[in-house]
Amino acid sequence: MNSVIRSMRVDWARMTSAGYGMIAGYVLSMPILMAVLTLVLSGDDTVAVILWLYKYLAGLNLMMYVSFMTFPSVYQDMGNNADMNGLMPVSRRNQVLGRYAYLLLFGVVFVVTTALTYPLAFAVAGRLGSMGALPWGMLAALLFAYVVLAAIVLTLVYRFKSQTLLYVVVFAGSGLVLCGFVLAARFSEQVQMVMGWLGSHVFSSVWITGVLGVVIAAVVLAGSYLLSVRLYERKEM
Amino acid sequence: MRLIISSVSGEPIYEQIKTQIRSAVLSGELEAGEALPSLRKLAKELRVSVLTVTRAYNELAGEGIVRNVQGKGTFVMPKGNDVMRDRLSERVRGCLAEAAKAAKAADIPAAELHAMLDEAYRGDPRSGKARKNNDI
Amino acid sequence: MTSATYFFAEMHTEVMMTGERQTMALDTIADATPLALSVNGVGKRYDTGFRLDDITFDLPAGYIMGLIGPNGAGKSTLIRLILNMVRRDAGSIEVFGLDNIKDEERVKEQLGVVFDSSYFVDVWTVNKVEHAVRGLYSTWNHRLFGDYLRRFGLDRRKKVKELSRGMLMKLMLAVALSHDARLLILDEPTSGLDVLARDELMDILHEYIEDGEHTVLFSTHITSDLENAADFITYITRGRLYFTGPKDEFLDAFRVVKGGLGDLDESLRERAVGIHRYETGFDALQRVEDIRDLRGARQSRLLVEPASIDEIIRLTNVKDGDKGKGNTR
Repeated sequence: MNSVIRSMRVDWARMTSAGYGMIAGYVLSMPILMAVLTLVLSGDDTVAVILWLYKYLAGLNLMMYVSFMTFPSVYQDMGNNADMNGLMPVSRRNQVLGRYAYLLLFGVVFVVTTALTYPLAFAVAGRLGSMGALPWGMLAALLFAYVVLAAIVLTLVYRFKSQTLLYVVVFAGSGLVLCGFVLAARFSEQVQMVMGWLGSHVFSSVWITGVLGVVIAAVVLAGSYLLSVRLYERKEM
Repeated sequence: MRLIISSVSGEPIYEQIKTQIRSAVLSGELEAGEALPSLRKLAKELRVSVLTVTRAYNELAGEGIVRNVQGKGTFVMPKGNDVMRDRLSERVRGCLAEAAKAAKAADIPAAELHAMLDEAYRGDPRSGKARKNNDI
Repeated sequence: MTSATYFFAEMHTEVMMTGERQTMALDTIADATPLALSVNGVGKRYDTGFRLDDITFDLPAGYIMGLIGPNGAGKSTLIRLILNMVRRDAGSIEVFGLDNIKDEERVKEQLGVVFDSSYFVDVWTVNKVEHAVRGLYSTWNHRLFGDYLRRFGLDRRKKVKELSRGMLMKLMLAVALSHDARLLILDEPTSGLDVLARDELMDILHEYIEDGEHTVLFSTHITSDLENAADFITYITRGRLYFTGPKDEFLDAFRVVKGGLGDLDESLRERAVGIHRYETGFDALQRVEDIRDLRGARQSRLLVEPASIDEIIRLTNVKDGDKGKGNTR
């Protein structure tokens, strides 16, 4: 346990290599962007704008948080910092565990900031009254997507070059989100139908959906962890 | 005392250490009971390996010049001790042999040589001229 | 270690110490001190065909061991094996009696390492380096680190990428020395450094082992640094162990015979371990036992000198044409 924390401290030093401002900037980017764009773009259909913007920014935010998984490794590749992994009094397994701890930690930060951005946007637009309930379903789906995607990316980090992965996640990820929105806008009728069908037939029970989501996420997470440990323990430094 | 080690003289370092310490003891510069610097301290100051100093100290102990006391250090032995005595006797014989050789070459008879020896032993100023230095 | 064991080329000959005095020196050490490092039968095979085979040596605590050999001999590989950064194919390694794989975390808490290139993120400042490493060791001494920074003239605000090679080595050294590491491992720390920096390093190493509780393993191909300071030598060449034991015994085991080309006859060639021929003559490395056989008129024309570490390395790695038959490899 102690040594997992040691490993996390080193990874933290790596992630903040360019300064604490960077991390703060990333975390605050969605709330700030949301607030600014809400003010700029709203007019008569403020609420509609907010709903639309929120979904889009949440998707991009998801990709950004997933890309965090590559950060410690990107900095580790600067110079011979990877050698430090061999000198640290932390076993390889515990080093991997530390990164998965970060995965969960960032997951919490992601969900909390995304959730808080919703009321923030309404408040900034002066429409707090029209807000209604937080979009729990969407938040749950986002968390699920984060865990699955982040776990996959983290395992890939142990196999491929992190810098490349970072670009792929950021650009391809954002690209996918953008495409998704454009397509959803073009085919909005069809999308509504599919969503409706899914809502009543597949995801009809909140409990079943919830349990299923947790189980699948847990399986992906566990599998990813085991594979990461295997890859890393084999590595020759 | 000062220990000066040359790394280019060709003579092994432990020999140089031994020679200099031995001379210092025999000349009285290092007194009986005095502690030599610790193994590691000397190794550090001379920038040589610890084993080299260990060897020098051990060999000096074998000659009776110093004594290694476990846990305390290395101390100079009093000059009267047996091993040192034997060593010094050897040196005296060496010097006498040379004196005898020189006397024969100069046709100085044995009786006169004996007289010279007595003078030297008494510390007669006349004999001082022939002596080059105070080292035995 | 009840008697010094020497390995010459393929022959694993147990050479008993001659002379009571020498036995005294080494037995005292062997009986009294624990082993900081014990490498047994370690082997590693790479796909490229390079192999490290059957490496065995012991390093008693409180001493400096030089790990020497030409470039590519396997020294860095050996160090990475000790650190478990590459996986070994055979053998065992113990640091302070702990298995280097099973007890990896406990072992590394007591290890300080200096590599030949910096292992820090290059945009880190010296201050940030401390932040990064201090969390790794419960024994981190902040004041001591600061003292070393001052002594080495390292500015906390400077970035790692702005530091010269010598400063980088000193930074790694400062880190290695600030958490009470009992074994300091240096892998080619002095390549590219000038004589002054190398002297400074040797002074620090002497200070480090002064209390008898700290040990140094120093891998280098610049052997002049070790000529005086090393207590033990482990010599590796072409992936094999050529010698391990006290430095004096290593040097005393060989002599260099020098002469004109006309003096290089069959019998000399037979006995030599390695010969370096040049325009005006030759240098031949011989085992000291073989020197006694040099007799006769020839002897007065030949020069027999003690061998330096460099000469031994050079002459045990000559090309095949220059090998004497005295070298069994």
